[in-house]
Amino acid sequence: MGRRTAGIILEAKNVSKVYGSGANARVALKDINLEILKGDLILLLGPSGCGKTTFLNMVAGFLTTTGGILECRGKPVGKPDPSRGVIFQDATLFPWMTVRENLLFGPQVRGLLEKNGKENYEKRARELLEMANLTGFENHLPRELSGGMRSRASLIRTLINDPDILLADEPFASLDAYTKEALQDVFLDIWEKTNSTILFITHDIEEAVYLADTIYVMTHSPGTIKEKVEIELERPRDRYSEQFSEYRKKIYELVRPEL
Amino acid sequence: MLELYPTMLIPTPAQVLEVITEWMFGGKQFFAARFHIDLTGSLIREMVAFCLGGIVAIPTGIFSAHYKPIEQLVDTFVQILRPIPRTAFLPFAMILFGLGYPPAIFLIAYATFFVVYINVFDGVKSVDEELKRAALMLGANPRQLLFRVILPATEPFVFSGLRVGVGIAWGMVILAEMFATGNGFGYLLWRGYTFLRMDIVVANMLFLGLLGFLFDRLIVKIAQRRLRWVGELPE
Repeated sequence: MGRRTAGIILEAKNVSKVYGSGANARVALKDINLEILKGDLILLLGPSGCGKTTFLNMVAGFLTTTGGILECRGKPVGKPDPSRGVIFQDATLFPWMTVRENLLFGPQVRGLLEKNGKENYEKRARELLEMANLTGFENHLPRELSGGMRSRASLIRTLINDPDILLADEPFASLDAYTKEALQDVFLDIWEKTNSTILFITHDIEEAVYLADTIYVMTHSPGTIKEKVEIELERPRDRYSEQFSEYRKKIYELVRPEL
Repeated sequence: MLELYPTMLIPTPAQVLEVITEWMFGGKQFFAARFHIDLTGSLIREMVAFCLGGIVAIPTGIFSAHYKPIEQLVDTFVQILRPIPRTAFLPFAMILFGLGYPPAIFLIAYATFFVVYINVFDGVKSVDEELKRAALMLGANPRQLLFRVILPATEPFVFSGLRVGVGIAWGMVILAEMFATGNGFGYLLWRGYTFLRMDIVVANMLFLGLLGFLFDRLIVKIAQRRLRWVGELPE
C-alpha cells in the first residue's frame, strides 16, 4: 500500500443509483468516480435535482447504491455510522435538548462517555463551542438560537464524534447572504483546526470557489461528474479578486448547459 | 309575577342556586347533601378510566407506528372498531360488566384509548426523517433511536391526544352515568330530566363545564412544562 492509497478516505468507482425498475426506472446517478484524501475539502456542485444529495446520502448510508464500489477507508459503505458524519441543510438539532445535550448525544449513545471519561468530552465540547462562537449558549434550546448558530451547533455536534469524513449537505443554503459568508469562514477555520476531511454539496458557485480544494461539477439527469476543477487560490480567499471571478466564470460555463 | 318564559323549561338562576345549595349542604329533596358523592363518583371514573386508556394507548400507539408487524395487527383492529361510534358500546359495556364502576370505566377508557392512540400513532409517523437520520449518523442504535429521539419528538402529539381525550372521556363519564351508575353528575343530570327538573339539569351542567375546564387546564399546564422546547403552545 503506497502512501497515497493510505491517505484515501473515500473512494467511489462507477457508483450509480437507479430508482424504480423496468420501464419506470430512472437513472439518478451514473458512473460517479471520485477520490477524497485525508484533509481534503471537496465540493460537489450541480443544479438542484442533479443527484448530488443522492450521492451524499449514499455515502452517509441513508441510501444504498445500485452499482459500483463505494468505500470509506477501504471498507464498503454500509449503514449510517459516526465515522461518516453529516450536517444537514436544516440544522436538525434535537429540539428538546440543549446545545450541550445535542453536542454530547453522539458520544453518549455510543457509550463513550463512560468509556473515555465524561470530563474529556465536556472539555472537547467547550473547545468546539468556542471554535463555533457558541460559548455561553450551552444551555440554550435550539429554538432560542439564530439560524446561523444552529448551523454551527450542528457542525460541532457532528465533529465531536471525530468522523473520518464530514458530509455537508448544503448546510448554508437556507441562511441569508451575510450569515452564510460568516459561516463559511467559521467552517474553514474549524476545518483547518480539526484537520477534517470534507465532502460538501452545494449549488452555489461562489460558495464552491470560496471553500473548495477541488470542485466536481455535475451534469443533470443522469447525474455524472462532468469535470474536476482544482481551485488553486491562496487562503484566505478574496471573493472580489480577479482570479476568483475567473474561477466563478469557468464553473458557471460548466454548469450553465445543465440548467 | 309575570313569567317571561316558562321556568319549567328554563330555570332561573335563583332556582339553580337553590338546587346547588341543597345538593351540597342538605335539605329535603332526593339529591340533598350528596354533592360529594356525585363529585367523587364522577372524578374517580374520569381519572381512573382516562389514565387507564391513556397508559395503554401511548405505548400501543408508539409500538404500532414504529414496528410494522405490530401495526398490521393492532392498527387493523383499531381501524375496524374506529368507525363505530364509541357511545354505541354502552349496551355491551353494561351486558359484560353490569352496573356501577366497571362498565363506566370500560367505556370511558375505550374512548380515551382511541383518541390518544390515533394521535400518538400519527405523531410517531410524522417524526422528521432527517431527525432520525441525524440520530443514526451520530451513532444511535435502534433502541436509542426509539427512546431518545422518536419518543420525545412524539410528545407534543401525546399531549394533543390527551387534551382531546380528557374532554371526550368526560363526555363518556356522563353517558355511562346516565344509564349504568347510581351516582355522579351524569346520573343526577338524567334524574333531573326524568323528573322534569331542569334546575337540577342546569346545576349539573354548570359543574360539568367547570370540571371539564379544569381537566383541560391541567393537561395544558403539564404540556407547557414538558414541552418548553416547542415554544408557544395553543391555549
